[in-house]
Amino acid sequence: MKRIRRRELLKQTAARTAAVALAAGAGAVPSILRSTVARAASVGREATFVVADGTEPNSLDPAVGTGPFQAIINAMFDGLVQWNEKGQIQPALATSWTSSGGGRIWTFSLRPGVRFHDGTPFGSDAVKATIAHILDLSTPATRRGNYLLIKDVLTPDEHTVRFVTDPPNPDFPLLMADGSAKIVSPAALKTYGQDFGRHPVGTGPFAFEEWVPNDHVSASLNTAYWGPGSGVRRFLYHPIPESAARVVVLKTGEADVVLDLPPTDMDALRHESGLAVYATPAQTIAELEPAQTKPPLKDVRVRRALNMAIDKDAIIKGIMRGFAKPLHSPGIPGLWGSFDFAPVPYDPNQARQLLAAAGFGGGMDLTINITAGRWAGDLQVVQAVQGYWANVGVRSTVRQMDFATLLVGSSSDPDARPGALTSLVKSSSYIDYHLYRMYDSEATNVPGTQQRTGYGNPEVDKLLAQERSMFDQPQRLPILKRAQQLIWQDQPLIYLFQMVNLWGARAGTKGFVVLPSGDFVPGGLRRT
Amino acid sequence: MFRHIAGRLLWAVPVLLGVSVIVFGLLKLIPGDAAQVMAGTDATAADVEAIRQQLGLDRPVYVQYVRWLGRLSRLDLGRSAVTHRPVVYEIASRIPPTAELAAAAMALAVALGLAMGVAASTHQHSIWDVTASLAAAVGVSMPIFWLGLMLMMIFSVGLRWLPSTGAGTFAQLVLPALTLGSTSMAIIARQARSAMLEVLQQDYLRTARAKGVTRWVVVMRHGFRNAVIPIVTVVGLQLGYLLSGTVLTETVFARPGLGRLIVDSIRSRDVAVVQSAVMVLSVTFIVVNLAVDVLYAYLDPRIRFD
Amino acid sequence: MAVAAPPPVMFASPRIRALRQFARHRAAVAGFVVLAGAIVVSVAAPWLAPYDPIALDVAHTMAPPSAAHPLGTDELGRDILSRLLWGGRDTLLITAAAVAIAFVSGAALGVVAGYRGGRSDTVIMRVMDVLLAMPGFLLAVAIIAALGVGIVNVIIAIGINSIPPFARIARGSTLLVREETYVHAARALGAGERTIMARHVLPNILSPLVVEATLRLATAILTASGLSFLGLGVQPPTAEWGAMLSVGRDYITSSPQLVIIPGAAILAVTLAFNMVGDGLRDALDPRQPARANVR
Repeated sequence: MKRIRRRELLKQTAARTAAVALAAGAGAVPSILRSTVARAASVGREATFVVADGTEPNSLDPAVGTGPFQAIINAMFDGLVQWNEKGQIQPALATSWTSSGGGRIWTFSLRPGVRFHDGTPFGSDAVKATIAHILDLSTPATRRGNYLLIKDVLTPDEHTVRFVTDPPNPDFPLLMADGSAKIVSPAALKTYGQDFGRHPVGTGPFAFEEWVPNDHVSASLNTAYWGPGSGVRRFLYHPIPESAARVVVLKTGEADVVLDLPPTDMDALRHESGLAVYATPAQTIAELEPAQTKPPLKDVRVRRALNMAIDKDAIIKGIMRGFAKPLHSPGIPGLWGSFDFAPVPYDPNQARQLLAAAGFGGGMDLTINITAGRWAGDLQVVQAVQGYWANVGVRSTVRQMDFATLLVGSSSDPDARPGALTSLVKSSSYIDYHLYRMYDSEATNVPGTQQRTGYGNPEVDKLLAQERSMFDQPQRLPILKRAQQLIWQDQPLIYLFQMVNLWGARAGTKGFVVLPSGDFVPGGLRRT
Repeated sequence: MFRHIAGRLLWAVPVLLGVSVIVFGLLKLIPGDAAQVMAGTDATAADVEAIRQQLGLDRPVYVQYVRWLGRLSRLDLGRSAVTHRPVVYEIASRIPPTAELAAAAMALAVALGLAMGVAASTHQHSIWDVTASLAAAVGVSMPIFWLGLMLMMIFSVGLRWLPSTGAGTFAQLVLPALTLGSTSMAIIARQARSAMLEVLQQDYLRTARAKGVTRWVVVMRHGFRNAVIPIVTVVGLQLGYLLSGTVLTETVFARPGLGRLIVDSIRSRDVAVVQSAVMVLSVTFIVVNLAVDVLYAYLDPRIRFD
Repeated sequence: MAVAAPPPVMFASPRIRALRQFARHRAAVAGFVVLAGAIVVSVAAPWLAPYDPIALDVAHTMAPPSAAHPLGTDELGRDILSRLLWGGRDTLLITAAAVAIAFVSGAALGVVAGYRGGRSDTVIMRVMDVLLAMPGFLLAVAIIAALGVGIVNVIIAIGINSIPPFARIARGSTLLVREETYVHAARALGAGERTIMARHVLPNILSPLVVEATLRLATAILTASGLSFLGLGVQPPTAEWGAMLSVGRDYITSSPQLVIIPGAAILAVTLAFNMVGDGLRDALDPRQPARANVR
């Protein structure tokens, strides 16, 4: 009898244990497999350089993927020229350049012996293909507006490329340092077509490895890189939208460099050992872009009132903790050629009057679209704006969405979204780039561009056309000033403030710069 | 027993169909023209119409439902409106973090819950019992998203013992599993305690004790063996709770799993992904419940030897 | 002739017995006190709260507790105490509405299924089975996905989610009560089906339903604040505990009180409901075994 019972008990225990183990094991097996595989690939934390920022990339195609994940794009791609930390451009894939034909023709000599990650050689045909890709209407190129001046790309030989622009533009080499102008592999473009954004191939120090959505993008060392070699074998970009989590990974060392730190933590982080935090001037502004081809946002009085209703100084003090600067310019303060004007005062009463004069005394309904987590405090600032607007009778709904969807919205026809504003930041390295793409009527109406506000002022267009083809810099200034004066009167955007780059790096990390644009640029990464 | 099992299987089929109707129907209610969204605002009316026909949106609802079912069975789940990648890829890439989280939470809940419950039952009215009961009451009432944040504050931010976000390593699993498993742990502990109490009071146990069988053997062999049946039932139910709890836990700990995918896709109106992900979780729940039923049928001698 | 003295009160009415049993349960009484306090404070929120819960004061964000702001201010300078009070009011109103809807519909469905039996029973219970086949919070999330965010849809989502337990309990109790003599008597006297269900069955199955309602209120609070935490429930700037927690996440490294306070409030009220529910169950129906109650 005892024997039977024991056997029975053993059977039952075995069955029960098996059931639980099966449940646990079934779940664990795939992850065990994955981590074993990962370990077999065996590039540990030691040999990986990790950069964290707030946004999941919408695409890894430089023409389409523009946002606070520039770090990973900069790791995989190069442009003809690049910015250095002194604010000048230096050779990258191009070794020298000259202009001719009254400034209409720019000739770049290309660096020989460079190969793409897929082994194909880099040459003038790649440059031609890259520009064609940006101008191709089926590519959702977010900065297409700035490239419209390129009328032709000639390839006289493999190592020389010639751009024909209309109008002639003295800043053209600066455009070639733009994030979207990074050179892509024509062979890969042909193979992947629209899917190139998920299979990026460039010439950069690291070659694309994998993109796990909402987790990381990784790239492995390109041993045949033409530039300075890196002391790490892998580069990892980690999108972490929660700013508190970004602070934690900086403190624990899970990340080497963390961008877009929250202002509220800067003081505490300054006292942490093992890392250093920086607050550096930025060429970036935070603003709301209204779709303004239809009422209510079509009326300049409405836009002015909306700007007046916001206490921007309180926002800078209370939410940004002083890590932001007041913005009284349609340009970007700090850039050559940017001018400040009379501030729009914080005056809710006058705002109400203006709204009533424009016919909206009974209030109006607006929508603000935002991708939270792109910079620390963005959602709070937008909610503060919502509160200030509620004070003057403007009801607004804040809609949160991922970055890809946000861009689809902001680049869609403004007629289809009256009353919609998009929360975006704009970073520009030279004044013409910024003024043109934000305020020229051609640029603000081209499909696919991020800032498709529909704004247009023929006077401004004329002045911009004038200044951008002037090679005499001192003579450009008064024209730039006049243009900005007109734009400032039009108040086409809701100007929030100028940002400050808040970022941190673990002690011992070197071989990179964080530009005033906020971009992380690797150049011989190492860790001591 | 087999008749019982067959009965359960037959019951499961209409339930599965019912769930699919709910999932399909609910997401049909979402406002917005899916064809328009996919075409973009610069498309012409002809483009939108073409896409509508391609997606089959011009047919009546029940036809769409049948076709959806058909595609579901072939695992053709369409493409994500946001990333344009196949939905199967989006879901498959996110199953591992969710599966390992649910499994770890379940293992933790069962192990610790059983231990606490059995211990409480054998030391009734002692300080352990009272503490365990209090802990169980708190565990059932605890908002897990708050518990997760508190654990993160203490162990990640404060003590720096554990990472706060992500998935893939064991260390990144600890806090999320603790968070997700807490409520189930409390419930299992409670259930184990009351089931054991009921059994421990039975006469046959007193007989065994009187015969001189050691206390431990009495508890485990006689008591636990009989208490295990109601406990197994509870465990099966807990899985449903765990699966839906992953939605909150993955959001708190930024794990790239199915739960977080559902939340993100709802925000971006990515209907295809929401439909499929919800379906996957529900089907998993139903299948596991079926498995628990079968196990139950095996364990309960009254059913097994029917 | 002397009238006999009334017999000593040894058999008090069932209600008083239940009350005494409840009072013996210390935790339940504590829970009841907390609840009563919470309800009073929430109803009185418009008068008690020192500030408008959505009034911004952007220049003074995340201020520590002070005389002006007993619990400090949040990330937009709003008074946390006022937001806590108003948030509690909203939470209690939402959950009460949702559970009330579920109670009424669930009880009705369950009584009909139990009393009529046959096809109505099968159909109704099958539908309940399907609803129960989806994990609870997930069903609520799916309903929100369909209907959109906002307070009304949260009420609907939680309501639908809560119907099956009420239906099941009502049906189970109805099956027992159906065989009671007074029901047979009523039928013999010619009472219509609806009258019997409403007047004879329903009042006698109320106890387990009330217990369930209390426990469901606890779950509903967790569901409602969970949905708001995910951004799928009550929308900002309306004050709601789950939403306050969600925003506080960004500040756990600098101002943890934004996370600690609303979460503690949720825990306290939910715990109170659970304690009261347990106490009620022990008092009203000690035969009911401890149930795993999560959806």
